[in-house]
Amino acid sequence: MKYILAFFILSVSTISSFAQLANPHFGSRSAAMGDASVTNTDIWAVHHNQAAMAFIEKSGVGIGYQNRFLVQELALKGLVGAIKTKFGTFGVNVSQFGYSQYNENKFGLGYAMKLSPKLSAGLQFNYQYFAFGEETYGNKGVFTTEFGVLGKLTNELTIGAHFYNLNYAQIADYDEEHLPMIFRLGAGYQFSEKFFTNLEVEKGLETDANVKIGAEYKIVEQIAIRGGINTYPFSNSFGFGFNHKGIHLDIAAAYQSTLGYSPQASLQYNF
Amino acid sequence: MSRFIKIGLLAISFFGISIRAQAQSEEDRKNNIIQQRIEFIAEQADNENLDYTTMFDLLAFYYEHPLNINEASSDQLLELQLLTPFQALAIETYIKQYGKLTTIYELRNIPDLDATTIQTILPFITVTGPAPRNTFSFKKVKEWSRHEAMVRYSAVLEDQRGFVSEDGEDPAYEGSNARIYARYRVRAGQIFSAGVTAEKDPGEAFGQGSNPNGFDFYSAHLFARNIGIVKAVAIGDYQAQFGQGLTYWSGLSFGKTGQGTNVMRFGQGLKPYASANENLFLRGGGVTLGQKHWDATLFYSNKNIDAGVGATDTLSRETTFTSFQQSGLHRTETEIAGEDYLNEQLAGAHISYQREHFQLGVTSVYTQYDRAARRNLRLYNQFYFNDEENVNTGIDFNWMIKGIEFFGEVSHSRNGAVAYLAGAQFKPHPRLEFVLLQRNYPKDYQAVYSGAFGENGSNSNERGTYAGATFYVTPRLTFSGYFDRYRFDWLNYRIDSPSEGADWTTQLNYVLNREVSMYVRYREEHKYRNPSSEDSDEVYKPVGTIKRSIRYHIDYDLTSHISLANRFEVSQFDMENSATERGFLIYQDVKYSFWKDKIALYGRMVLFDIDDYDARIYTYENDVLYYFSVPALQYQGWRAYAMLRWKINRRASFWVKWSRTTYTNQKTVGSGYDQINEPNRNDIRVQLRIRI
Repeated sequence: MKYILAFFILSVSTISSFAQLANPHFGSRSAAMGDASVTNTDIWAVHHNQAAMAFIEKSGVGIGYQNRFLVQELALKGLVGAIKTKFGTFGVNVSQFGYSQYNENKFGLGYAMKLSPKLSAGLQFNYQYFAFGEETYGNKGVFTTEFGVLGKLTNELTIGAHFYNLNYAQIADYDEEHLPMIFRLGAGYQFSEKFFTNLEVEKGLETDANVKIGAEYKIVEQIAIRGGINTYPFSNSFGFGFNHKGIHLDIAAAYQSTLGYSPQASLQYNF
Repeated sequence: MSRFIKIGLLAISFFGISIRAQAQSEEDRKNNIIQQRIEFIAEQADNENLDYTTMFDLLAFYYEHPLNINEASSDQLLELQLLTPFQALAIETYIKQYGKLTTIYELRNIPDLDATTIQTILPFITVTGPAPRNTFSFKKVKEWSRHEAMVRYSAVLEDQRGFVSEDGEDPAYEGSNARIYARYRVRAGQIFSAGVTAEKDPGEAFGQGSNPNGFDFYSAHLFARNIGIVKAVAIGDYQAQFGQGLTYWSGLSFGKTGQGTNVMRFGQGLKPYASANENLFLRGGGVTLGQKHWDATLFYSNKNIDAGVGATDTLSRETTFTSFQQSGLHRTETEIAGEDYLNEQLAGAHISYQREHFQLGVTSVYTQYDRAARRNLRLYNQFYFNDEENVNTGIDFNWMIKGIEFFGEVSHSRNGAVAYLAGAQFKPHPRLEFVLLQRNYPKDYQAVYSGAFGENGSNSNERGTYAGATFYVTPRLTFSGYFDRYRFDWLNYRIDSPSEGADWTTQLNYVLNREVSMYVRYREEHKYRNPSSEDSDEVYKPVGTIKRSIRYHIDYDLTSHISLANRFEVSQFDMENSATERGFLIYQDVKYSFWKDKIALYGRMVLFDIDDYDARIYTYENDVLYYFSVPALQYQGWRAYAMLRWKINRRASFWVKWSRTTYTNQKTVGSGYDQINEPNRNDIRVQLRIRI
């Protein structure tokens, strides 16, 4: 049964076409927590910190859809998968951001392993393709790499760090334009079974540092409420999570005072 | 299982605190200690290229030959500069009371020793092994001698302006861009040391031009201790440090550090010199004689030093010099002209009387130059040394009475100026320690080689009060901080009026468990400076500046092979009537060792975004043994390094390090002759060491 469901999710996502945004922050659980998710150990870690995949309890697949500022042309669609094996956890992610006249596509293969019961490291290789509707601008594909580590310092405290684009890939000769290199460093603190918080700093090479705070509270085992704050640009977010028999539905919305709401939803199945 | 191991395991499980004996993590601890200190020194000295070797020579020595604390005197414990007098006393008292420590885990039972301190001293101490200060005998020298030969090569891979010929002219620098350092040293415990050091800096000629004898700098020393009443004897190159450093102190000294209560100095008398700083040492001979409570040191030095070439008197043909040049660089025509331009002779004596917990010393040093100083006199340097000879005489003391340690020094220079510093360190509660230090260095106090506590590099034109405290909140949590307020009664370099300033630092150290330790630090500094950095005769009205920085640092070893560290730092610089400069830095460190620690790989990735020079952030880096790099980062970009350390066998070790900095908002790197015409800089360093 579960394989049929997994297949179903995969086929639906194939139809809904692939994609992403230079380094898309994806997954509605993460989004609801203000993207302060570098220490979150779920299958969406494929997008946040591959090292965290090593700590997932079950393999899973998921799909997600985000609509930035309620603008249809700024949609982000994608699928993720994380397969736990005895050699470590393998991850895959495919996403597309944009629309026919401009889109960014990311295809990534990741791998994470536990170096000790408390420490893991993860590596991911991506092919990213930037396409314009008009021929004149040209299309460009580059390879990027990601690297992350995750340490469970105590039962409550987890620390994680992640680099995106370690190879500092260049996408245009003009003005030597590079994809951003992004460093995320964060800590997660589990107050109880029901409540945990995340604190994270994210620094893009050429953008200001963004401090992010997120929290999740489980009202009952099946329902979680979440919230988060970002400082640069200033925005806040909230969301809900429902899970039943390994199926997770997460809904999130981020609000930025100038640009408005960005709603998103993701569905995942663990087996 | 032996009884001692059981005690140890018991101690660990009971206190849950890390006291580990694995060589691997101790190497990290040693580096962490050096890191915290060096960053402070570099920030204060505003210089990333100081020669720290001599400063950390002692730590490096004890790291490889740990000090047996059962046999060490409290002087020797204090010499490490890692313990406060009370902690040293507590160790001594404990040993007297309960007998020798049988394992290092027992340290935890000593009151006054907190987890942070234990972790700090652990790499450098042991509870077994020979007594550290043996009496000299040729048999011991023969038996203990260890020979060490080392060669290091480093270079910048990009072309720097000084090495390229412009407009058909010869390059500005005489030599190649390689930095080569070679040294040989033989050492028998602390009782004997001899060695030769040679160095060529980038841009200096090698075996040609101004350096026909190969290297630009050579140094050699012969040193022995404890031969009957001769406590120390030095021939060749050596250093001397007395009292609190106000009268005489060769080499660098620790100033303010994150540990607020470590300000007292412990002059070590004569020390062998095996470093490559080309000016801050003595060349000649010295001897210390000691019996019972008395020690007497006599020393003499005669060497040529670098100076700015001054004007020649048209009638008498007498030549002069304008400044002391301490960079030790001889690359351009001007630098080569000033190389060894000035002959300096020093003769000094130090007599000290000591009893238990009491010490009194008198130091006198005479300095003579073969040319007179004729500085380009401006208002600010009116009172600088500007003569042919100088005499400094001082009295220093330290005395522990009723749980208070008093220390101080008062010194006189030939022109009649009297400077002093006085301090007291006390412990009102077992978990609380304070230090107070008052100094008054008049504007005309002149000592070319002094190294007493202070804000200015030279001990003059400064008076101030320093208060530091350490609070051992719990065995794992330590709070430390200081507040220092000072006044410059006369003008200073680029401060065209008398001014005042203050700085403070607070630091919280937390040892979470065996594997994890972290600290948070806040620093703030208020100072005045001229609104323009132009060096003209115009008089400016200084404006106030404030520099603030906050740092979070965490070290964690989650497996026995891998250790990680992260740092996050924000800085801000505000100056009246100018835009605020901000800085941001974040990094990930990884160390991986395998094959029984024969091979260790080190790596770091830093992202930084720092508006400009005044908000710069210093970051210590792991480097090849005995080399210390503390790059000051500014502008926007990333920096990465990778280093391999390979212990080839018992005798040979090999290091190679590569580092790269890329700027995203700059077109060039560096300035002047060091400028690189692209926004990248790659450095490579290779080192080989053979020990027999």
